[in-house]
Amino acid sequence: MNGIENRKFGKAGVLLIVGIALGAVFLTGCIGQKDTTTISIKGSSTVLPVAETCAEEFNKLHDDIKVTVAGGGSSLGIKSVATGSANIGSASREVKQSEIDQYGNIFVDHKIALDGVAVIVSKAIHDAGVTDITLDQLKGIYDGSISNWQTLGGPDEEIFVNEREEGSGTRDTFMDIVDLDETAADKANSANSQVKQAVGGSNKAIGYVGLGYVSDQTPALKINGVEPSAATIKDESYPISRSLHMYTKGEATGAVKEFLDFVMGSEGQALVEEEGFISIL
Amino acid sequence: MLLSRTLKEELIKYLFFCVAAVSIFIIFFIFFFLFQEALPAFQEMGWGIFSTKWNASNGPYGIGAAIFGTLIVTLGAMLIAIPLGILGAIFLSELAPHRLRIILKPIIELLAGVPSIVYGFIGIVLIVRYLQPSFDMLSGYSFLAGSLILGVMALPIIISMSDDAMKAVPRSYKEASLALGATKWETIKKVTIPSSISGISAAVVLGIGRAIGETMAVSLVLGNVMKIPLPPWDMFETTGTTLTSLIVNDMGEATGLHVNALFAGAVILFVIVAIMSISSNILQERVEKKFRGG
Repeated sequence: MNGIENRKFGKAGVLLIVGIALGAVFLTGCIGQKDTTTISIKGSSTVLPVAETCAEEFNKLHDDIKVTVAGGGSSLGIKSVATGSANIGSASREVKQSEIDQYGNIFVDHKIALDGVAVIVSKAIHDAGVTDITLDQLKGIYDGSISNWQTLGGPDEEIFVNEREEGSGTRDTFMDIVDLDETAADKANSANSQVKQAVGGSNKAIGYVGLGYVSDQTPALKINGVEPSAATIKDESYPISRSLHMYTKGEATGAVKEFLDFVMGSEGQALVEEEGFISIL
Repeated sequence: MLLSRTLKEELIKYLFFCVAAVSIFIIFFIFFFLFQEALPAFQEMGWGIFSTKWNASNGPYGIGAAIFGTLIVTLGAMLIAIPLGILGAIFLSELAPHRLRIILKPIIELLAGVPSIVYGFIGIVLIVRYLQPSFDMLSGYSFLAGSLILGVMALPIIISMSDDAMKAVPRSYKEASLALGATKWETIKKVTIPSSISGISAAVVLGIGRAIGETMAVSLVLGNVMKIPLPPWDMFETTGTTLTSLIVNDMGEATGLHVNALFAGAVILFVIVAIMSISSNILQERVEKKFRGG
């Protein structure tokens, strides 16, 4: 029995020593980096992939600065930068007046990319000849006053109206530009991919998504005759577009400024395009 | 080693006690946190929390529509799962030949192990697409789709537990009935089912509990709009959401009182599921008592 217990202790002892050694290495590693400045970004889930790839590249180039990224939504991003729990708040919409009232006029806007909100319909509807829509007609569909595709020259089918959940930046942009407060939508979706799934799986649906989600099964409508594309969004002829923002509290300085310059510079903008958004350059 | 046997014995006892206590603490903390986070919503809204007036960005936060959705989806699921489940259990425990039984039972139990997201995925690509043309619906996303999926998800629990309950009925009961000249069906109807009714009820209640708390699969096949369909019993309407679906869809973008309202929804869900779970336990204990004596 004694032998067995001793052997067990031996094993535990080895583990303990290895553990201490690892811990020591880890600790010295941390102490060695005490000069590191940490920048935290919080906010929009739309901006998240861009922020992440930019942070990754930026961290590779800078030993002394570490950028961390978290999601949570545009509202959280703005709140976080205002309360100081993040250095940069990302948002897929402008700061609202109510937020300025609440936190004061402290936000400095950095536009880092452009994105269009495309209005997609089921393939059957597009094939039936509904390829163009006006903002007024869109408003009618989403407030419930237009409920049949016939009104738009399509087939005699009820319109299956898809929207995004409240709080979504895509929704905010859409609602703002189409001028809606409330909708009579049939289905609320919590992601672009869900809208695409619902519209693509139906023969009478309409929805709105980020430009990258337009596909053959979910073709985009022209709005007032303008096709959504990088070019039409850049020259502002396509009406439902938005900028992606990074907000700072007061002017950006030091490491934060360095990071924002990187994002808005040619390297960062290349990453923006890689993620499916439109460069501001 | 140097420790006396009794001391060692004591130490081990306390160690195990601590480990057991951890899970109780965790439950307690969840309970406490849930209520603490929900409190502002209850204070602000009062009984209005049960109303159907909902505006996610500015309030009011009445979650009545979601509570209604939860109830109607669960009701629909039970209409599917209870008859199928109990009949399935009768077949499995009383009628199936032994060879079939040993194949069927594990397969049915395997159904319970399928991750809910898989059910949701099947729901989206099959059920939703099939429902719309079949019933000429606006879209297949509906309470009906949610009920169908939940019904299937509740089946393995109901079948398996009801089967256990019927198997627990002493052989002598059934043999006595058969010896008196009753047919197999009469025996099932008049002896087996009445004797195991509390066990079957426990299975049903637990099945309902599972269905109410299910999130992922349901949220994928509902319309998720915070409104009660018109008319309310219209299972084919796209509009409508459940408590679980509301929470999972809104949590990411919610701030302020909106978050508290979601927690209030969680509290209501928690209370319903706890009641279900406890009553299922009580029912099951009753079965055990009954047969221990007889």
